[in-house]
Amino acid sequence: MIPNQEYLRKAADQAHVVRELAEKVKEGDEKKAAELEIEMERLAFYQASARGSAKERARKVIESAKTTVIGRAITQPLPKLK
Amino acid sequence: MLIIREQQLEKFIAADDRELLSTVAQAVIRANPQRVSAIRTERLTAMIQLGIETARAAGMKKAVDIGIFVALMFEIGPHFYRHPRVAEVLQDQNYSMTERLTQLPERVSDEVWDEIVHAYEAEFWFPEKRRAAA
Repeated sequence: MIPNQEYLRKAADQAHVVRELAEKVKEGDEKKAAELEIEMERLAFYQASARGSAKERARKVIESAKTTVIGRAITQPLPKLK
Repeated sequence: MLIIREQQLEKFIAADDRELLSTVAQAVIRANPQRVSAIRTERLTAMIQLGIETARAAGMKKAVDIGIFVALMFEIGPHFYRHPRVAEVLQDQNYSMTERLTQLPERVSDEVWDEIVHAYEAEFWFPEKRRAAA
C-alpha cells in the first residue's frame, strides 16, 4: 500500500500534541490524563490511516476479521456425542 | 455426514456475550495489531464492548458480522455505517449481512471511504467523557 501523505503529516503533528500532554501529566497535571488518552487514540487512528488507502485497509480488515471469527468455530472442540 | 446448523455454528464461535467479546477482540487485534497496541487493556475492552453494542444496534446479529463491523469501526471510523452509501449497501436485502459487509470495498468508492476517515471522532470511544462534557 502507498502511504497516505496527508495522514503521515497529521500523525506527526498529533505525536507532538501527545508528547506535550504526556509531559504535563508527568509534571503532575492529573486533569490532563483523560485528555491524553483521547489524543493517544486519535494518534493511533491517524497512524493507521497513514498506512494507505482507506478502501484497501477496509478490504484487509474485513477479510482478516471474517477469517478470525470463522476460525474460532473450527478450533472449538466438538460437543460430545450422546 | 455431520451437519452443523447456523445456530450451532454461532455457539461454536461464541456461546455467550463474554465469548463474543473475546472473539471480537481477537478479530480487532489480528486485523491491525498496531492500531490497538498503545491502548491499555481495560480501555480496549470498553471500546470493543461499545463497538459490539453499536453493531447490534445497527442490526448485526451473527458473531462474524459483529466482528467485521467492529474491526471497521476501529480502522475506518466508528460511524462508518452511517454514511448514506454504506447504509444503502448494508440495507440491500438481496444478500446476507456477511455478504453485504464483504461487498463494501467493491460497492463503496474510494472517495466515500476517505470521507468516512475524515469524519473520525476520537471522542466516540470515550462516552464517559462525552457525558461529563454535556
